[in-house]
Order: sequence, then C-alpha cells, then structure tokens
Amino acid sequence: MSTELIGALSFLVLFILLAGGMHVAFTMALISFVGIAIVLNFDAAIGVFSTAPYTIVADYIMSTLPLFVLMGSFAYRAGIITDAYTAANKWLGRLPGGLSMATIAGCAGFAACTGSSAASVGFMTMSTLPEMERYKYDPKLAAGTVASGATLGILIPPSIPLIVYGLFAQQSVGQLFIAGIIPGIMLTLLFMLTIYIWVKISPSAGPRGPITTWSERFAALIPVWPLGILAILVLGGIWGGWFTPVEAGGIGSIGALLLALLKRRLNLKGFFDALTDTVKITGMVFAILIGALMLNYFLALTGLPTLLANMVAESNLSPVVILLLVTIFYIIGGCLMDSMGLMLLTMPILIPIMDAMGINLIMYGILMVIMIEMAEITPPIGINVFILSGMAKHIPMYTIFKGVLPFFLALLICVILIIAFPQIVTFLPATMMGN
Amino acid sequence: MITLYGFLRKIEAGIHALSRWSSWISVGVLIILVITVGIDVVGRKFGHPLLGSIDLGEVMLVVIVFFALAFAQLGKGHVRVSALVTRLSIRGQGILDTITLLLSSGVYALIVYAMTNRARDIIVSAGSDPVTSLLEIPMLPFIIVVTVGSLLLCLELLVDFSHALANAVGMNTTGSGQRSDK
Repeated sequence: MSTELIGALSFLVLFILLAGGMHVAFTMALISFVGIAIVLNFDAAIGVFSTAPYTIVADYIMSTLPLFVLMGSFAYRAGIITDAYTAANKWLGRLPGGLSMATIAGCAGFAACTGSSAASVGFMTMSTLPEMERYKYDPKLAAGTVASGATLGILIPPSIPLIVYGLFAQQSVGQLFIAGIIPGIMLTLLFMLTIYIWVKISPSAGPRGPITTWSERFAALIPVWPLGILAILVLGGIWGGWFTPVEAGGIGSIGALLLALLKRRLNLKGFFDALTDTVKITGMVFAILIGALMLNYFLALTGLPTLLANMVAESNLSPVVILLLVTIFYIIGGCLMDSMGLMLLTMPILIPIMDAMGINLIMYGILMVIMIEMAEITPPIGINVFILSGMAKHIPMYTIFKGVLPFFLALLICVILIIAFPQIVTFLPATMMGN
Repeated sequence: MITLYGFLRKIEAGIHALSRWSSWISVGVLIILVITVGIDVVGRKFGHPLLGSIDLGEVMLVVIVFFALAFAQLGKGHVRVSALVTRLSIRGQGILDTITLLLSSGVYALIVYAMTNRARDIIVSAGSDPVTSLLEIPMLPFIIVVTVGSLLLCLELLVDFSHALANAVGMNTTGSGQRSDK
C-alpha cells in the first residue's frame, strides 16, 4: 500500500472517529501516532510523541494566544461590549432596523478587543435580544443579527483563529491582524446593509427604536473612548512596528485590566474568572494545535499533501476556481463541524495546495476565517446558534437558522469580493512599518 | 467500611482536585507572563529590555498549556462533534463514549510514556541536558511538566471513561460519561 493511500485512509478513519464523538484534538493525535507507526515504525511514533508536544508549545510567538484571550476576558468583564452597544444604539437605534444595526456595531466594537465569538453571542443575547423583542422586532431578524454579528469576533483583530492560522501556516500574526481590519469593517457594513434591505422589504421586521437627542448621542460616546484607545494601541502598535504581536497581547491585557479597574467593573472574583477562563480556552486550543501539528507531520510523511498540491497545480484550474471550490468545501464542512476543528483539520491539506497555486497565504488566512465564520452559524452544527438557542429558549432553533440565512449570504458576498479583489486584504499589510 | 463505589468516587474527587490545582499554577504563571511582557516592553522603551524574555516566555507557556489541559477536560472545554452521538440513547452514547474515551486516554498515556522516556534519558545522560538558547534554562523541569500535565489529562479522561462505562452497562442513567461539548 502506498504511503499516500495510507494518508487518505487515515482521513476516513479520522472522520469516523469524529462522527463517533471523539474529541478533535485526541483524534488527530491518535491518527498521527498510528499513521507514523504504520508508515515508519512504533519507535518512530514514540519518538515524535516524545518531542512534538514540548516543541510545538515552547514557541514564543505562541504566547500571543493566551495573552489575547486574556485581553478579551478582561474587556468582556470591563463591560466594553455594553458601552459599545449603548453608543451604537443611541446613534443608530432610531433608524428602521436600527437596533439590529446597533447590535452589529456593538459586536464589531467588542471584536476589536476580543478574538472569539462565544462571549459576544452570550452577552448580546442577554442584553440586546430583549430590547429588540420589546420593540417588536421579527424574532428571525433579532436572533439572526445576534448569532451572525458575533462571528465578527474572529475576523476583526485580535483574532484567535488568525493567531492559530499564522502559527500553523508560518505567516506573520501581525500581518494577519492588520489584514483583517478592512475585511472586518467591510463585513460589518455588509451585515448592516443586509438588515437595511431586510427592513426595506419587510418594514414590520425592524421598527424604529426610541428617539434620542444629539446630546444623548455624544454623551454615549464618552464611555467608548477607552475601547478606541485600546484597539488603536494594540493594532496601531503592531502596524507601526512598535510591538510584536506577543507584546501587543501583553500590553492589551494590562490595558483591558486597567480599563476594567477604572470603570470599577471588576472585582476579585471577576479577575480570577477571567484568568481561569483564559487557561481553559488556552488548554483547549493548544490540545487541538498539538494534535493538528502532529497530524501535519504524519501527512507530510505520507506525501499526501504534496501529491494533492501537484494534482491541483497540474489540473490547470485557475486559483479563483480553486478558491471557489474551497469555499464550497468549507460551507459543507461548516455544516458538519465546529469552526476551530474544521480549520485545524483542513489546514495540513489545503495550505500546501494554496502555496502550490501561488495564492497569497495572508489573503487565504483571512478568507478561511470568514469561511469558518459561516461554520459558526450554519445548521446543524452552528455553535453561535446553539449558545443563542440555549439562552433564548422561547425562540425555536429553526427560527434562528432562518434568521442567519441572509447574513450567511452577506458572508458569502464578502468571500467573493475578496477572491475578486484580493487587495481588500493585502493592501494594509503592505503598508506596515518594517515590513 | 468504604465500598468500591465510594473508593472510586474518592479517587475521582482527588483527580478533579489535582486538575483544579494545576489550573491555578497555570493562572499564576499566566500572570507572571503578562508582567514579564509588560516589563520587557517598558524596559525596551528605556533601553533596558528584559534579557531572555523569549526563553522565559517559551518555558512559561509550556507550564500554562500543560497544566491547563486537564482543567479544560474537567470544564467541558475540549471540542468534539456531538451532533450524531446526542441522537443516541444514553446507553448508546455510553458505548460510543467508552470507546472514544479509552482511545483518547490511550493517546495521552502514550505521550506520558514517551515523555517519561525522554526525561529518563536526560537524567541518565547527565551533563548533556538540553537548555534554552539564551538563558540556558534547563528543559528537564519543563519536560516533566509536559509529562505531569499529560498524565492529569489522561486521568481526567479515564474518569469520564468510567462514567461512560457505567452508562454503557446501564448502571448510571444520569447522563453521558462524556460531558456535552460543542
């Protein structure tokens, strides 16, 4: 049996084990161990297990991950998301569908301080959903807005999936963060446009919110300034070459902590909760990362990624067609798997293919993150929908899935725009200092 | 007189306690990491960067990650695809979970075995200990951290395996041995 065939069969076993409920991290590690033992021998597999876990983790750039998770945890507890939503609500709430638009803006603001979407969907469900329901918003629009808006957390930097992608694909995390800014803003606007069109077609779906005066609007901006400073400090520091991403994460964590203390919103329990949440997420992400990188090693040993990359390169398909096919693949995969698992499972195969096709890996990283955003809201496995459904039990899950459909189309449009105009992604990183 | 069930529950409580304690070590080292990065950035601004901050960051990350693995398992943190499994009966889930959890604990038992061998080799070949690049911090303590952290995760998985086994044989109908994740 050829090693490439062993590699292909290993994926079949991997999917069977995943479908059987085995954890993603441990499945990948198991497959890599058994695979290496078959391709080489048992001692070689033990040899990989004796070095890989330490070598994978003991990498300074990997510190970026817990530091930005910590920053997000402190920012969440500092009530930054509340302030961002309140300000957006005062400015946009009076517009048709304005409360939904404010929710999207609030999500985008929070995304600038955190790299995950779970906290965002949890908070937005608690705080904005009752408000939209009070103003008789269509439950589809209200729930769809919350579940979809929260996905911005993983695109707008700092972003945990972008850090993981950068570490895996050997791409600069700093460049990836800066590359995510314009697509993040673009997607925020596309989501708002989706709401505008929805309400234009069905005005009763998003009635106007309360009237606010100009003084109220400007007053609402005051608590938001620290958020702006923190985001500018972190992203500006990376863009300007003043901080490495690790340092930006450290400074961001300290900044978010000081902010929470200044706002008197963080007690000792909240402080330790933020820290324990961070180590739990860190443990989870690194367990998958260890498994994925060991799987990557095994697959490289089989020669399967090289074979597939050569096949794709010789197929005469254009990079655009390849990217569109990958998009379809991710849409299907996103229906079946959790976003982080899907991303780490597919990277060992797809990154060599993208590299062989000459596709800019920074652009591909951003594209992939948008594609896994889709995975967070597509049925039957849509983690954001699950969280929302768990918290708002009066809204049936199929209503939420119906509600996210227009936003899913907005995500798809964003992907197509980036494939058609890669400069949307590549422009800002090219202007970075010390590039 | 302690029954076998009571004895196993005590062992389980002990493993959970160890996982929680190890997570507090992670938390403590995370705080030190943040402070170290902060001192390095400020120090660099004044022309005195922290010597060996990269070495320190690397070894601290090893402690943070490996002492968090078992805690993540204890707190339902590790990702799995449960869409198909949750459609099964408690017993069906128990049977599948028994298999997958045994395989999972087996993987980390292999890591423990491999890392123990490596640590033993380093101890035996005294004088040729691997060290970090700049500060020359010995790696052996951190290799032991990897081993201990992996062992704790392995034990947490075995605790879940015992619950899944109970479900599989119809002894426990309070829920799946594998806590429901994503």
